[in-house]
Amino acid sequence: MWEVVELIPTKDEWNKALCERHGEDVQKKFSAATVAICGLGGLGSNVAISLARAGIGTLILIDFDRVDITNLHRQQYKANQIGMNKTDALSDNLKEIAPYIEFETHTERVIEENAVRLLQGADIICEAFDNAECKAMLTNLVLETMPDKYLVAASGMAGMGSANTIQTRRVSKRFYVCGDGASDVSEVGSLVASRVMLCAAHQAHTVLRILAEQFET
Amino acid sequence: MTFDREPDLDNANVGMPDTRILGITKYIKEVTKSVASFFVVFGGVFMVKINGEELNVAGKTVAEYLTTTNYDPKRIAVERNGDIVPKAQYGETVLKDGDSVEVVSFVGGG
Repeated sequence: MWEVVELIPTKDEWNKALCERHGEDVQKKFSAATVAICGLGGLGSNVAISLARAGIGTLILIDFDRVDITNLHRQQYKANQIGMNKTDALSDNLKEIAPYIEFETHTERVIEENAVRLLQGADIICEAFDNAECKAMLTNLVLETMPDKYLVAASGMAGMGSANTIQTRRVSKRFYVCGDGASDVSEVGSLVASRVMLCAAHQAHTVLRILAEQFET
Repeated sequence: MTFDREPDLDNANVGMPDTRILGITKYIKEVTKSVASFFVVFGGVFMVKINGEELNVAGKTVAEYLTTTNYDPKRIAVERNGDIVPKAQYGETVLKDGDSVEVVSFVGGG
């Protein structure tokens, strides 16, 4: 008898609301930007949600992995998404949150051989891996071979340490690192949603500040 | 230090430094600077700033410096004067006096 029709705002209405909150000049910069997120775990899935809500034009989502029950305590997936590719699960979730965002998804590992192909369209790259050696590999790769791009990396968000030790550091002109720089999950032994989300929020905020041309000194 | 004159009761000079003391301080500063530059030029003290700390490692390559540290080479990125040092060039990149180096060492978790 009754058909449920999901009504979502039009693209114009959506854009107007974003401009109202961010200012038209800044929103134009957000809408024109392409941001790549390498790794869709605790950091990447949270970075993606912040950036999607902010109305970033295009997100490049990269992860080879599937959603696991051990991810759900800190990553932005749902119980009924266990077993799905993280790229598919996250883009489904993001479409519900921000229906007019453009996506590019790659279900593969970022390695030296494919990095340029995967990342060449991005203005800003977020390093959101969990493995320290992968973090260093991507950082060296981006800084050595893609000097025109910004890199926002993360290091040190494990454990129950103070929220206030998570910081954003501008190492050089186009290279930022967020985190406490020290707490290694293999030594600390735990990861909690709130602290990982703090670090992800630092990364997402750094991306937005770069786009708004407000740089750390 | 003694003052050989009466305090000035005129408010015009309140808060103004004694010009003679200022002169001596300036002189001491200049002498210190000359002595320091003498040592830098003739004494062979060549400093490199690494993660904000002045270290006497000028003349060493990045690879040589790293062997004196606990950094895991697989977990780091090295920047010198704002530019990345490519991993393949650690062995041939010589640190120079006045260089500013950042070693970013990654830890796991994400």
